[in-house]
Amino acid sequence: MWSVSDEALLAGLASGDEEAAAALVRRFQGRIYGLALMIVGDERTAEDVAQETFVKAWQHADAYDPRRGRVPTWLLAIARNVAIDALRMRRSEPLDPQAILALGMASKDPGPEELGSAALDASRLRDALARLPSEQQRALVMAAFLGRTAREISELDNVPLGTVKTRIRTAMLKLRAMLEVSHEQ
Amino acid sequence: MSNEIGCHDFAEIAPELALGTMTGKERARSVEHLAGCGSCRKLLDDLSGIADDLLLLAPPHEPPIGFETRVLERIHASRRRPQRRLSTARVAAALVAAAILLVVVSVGAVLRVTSADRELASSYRRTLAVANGDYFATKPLYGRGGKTGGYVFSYQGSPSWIFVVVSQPALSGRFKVQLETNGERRVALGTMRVEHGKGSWGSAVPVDLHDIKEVHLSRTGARETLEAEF
Repeated sequence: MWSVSDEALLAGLASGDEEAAAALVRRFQGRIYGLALMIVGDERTAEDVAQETFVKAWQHADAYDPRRGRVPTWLLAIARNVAIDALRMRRSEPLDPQAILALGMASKDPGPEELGSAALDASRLRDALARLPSEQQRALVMAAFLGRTAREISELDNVPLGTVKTRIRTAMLKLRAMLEVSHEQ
Repeated sequence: MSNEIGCHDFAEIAPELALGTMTGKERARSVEHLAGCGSCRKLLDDLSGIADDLLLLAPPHEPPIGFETRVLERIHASRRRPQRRLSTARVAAALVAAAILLVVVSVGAVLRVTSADRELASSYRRTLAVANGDYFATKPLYGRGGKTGGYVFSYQGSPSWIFVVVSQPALSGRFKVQLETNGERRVALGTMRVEHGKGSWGSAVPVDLHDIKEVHLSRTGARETLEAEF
């Protein structure tokens, strides 16, 4: 099953193939649980989030469109939203953005056997993120991982709204520019 | 004041759109621009890819022992319930496009129906981050016998809203739309018409989406009901 593509496993999950479902869970449980834990900060909630992510993946597997993104990032996007939802429902405090950033920067790059082409993208992105000013990194982490709007970040960090919007915009456009350059090299 | 934005304005808001952290009103304006601008759609696609790939930076962590078994048991338990999934992805795309139309109309803009609508819906789904996300969710409406009679789309924002799409053969009449909160409070939202089995209707809701337990449609003067659990 480890030589089977992510898309094939997802299709198997959708069609009720139990072996494919188990293989998909085994392949991505570490990534999904890891992201959930990074966002919600406690193991019990993280497991609930991770379980719910796979259930939602099963529920919507037949609507997955490879043009929208790869399977790993599709699953992680579901996990992120479920985690944010869990934080709001339980009115819990997420992990501090600086801690999230530190975890993300320290993380080992996934091997190609784990995430395929996504492995190289993660490595490039980590390098590019490290080159951003700290205030841009912080705003980006709060938006990307915690789903905070610019207004919420402005209120939490006591920074003008326009400044937060500029930080997020500048960070994303810089990442885009840096990744375009690294793709060309 | 015009609601239209140009490429320069779109470039200012595209990063937040890609991250899924925009308000409904801002998103509606950007959606209209995307319908007619290929370069801005490319920008949004690139930025959405970056937003997705940022999630890859989270370090993996082995879940507790037995996690795989528990997940598979939950999926099996869900499979044992009556089959209530969308029949085709095309139906899902059409219903999402209908929800997009509501967002745009509610801020006074007009969405031009173009051949790029399906591509637009695909791009919009991506930026909203798939599958019942925090900001955008769908719930099936069940009628008599547990059959699916439509869907309720919901958006958590400022304001929050729901958009009801009914599709049930032979159903017709005026339906009162109500929601029931987790505190068992009933809130009347309005009335919708269903004709020849089809109807759609939307409204802002005065409660947090997380406080909604159910949405009820009940036919005036009859016992016909449709319900969606949240």
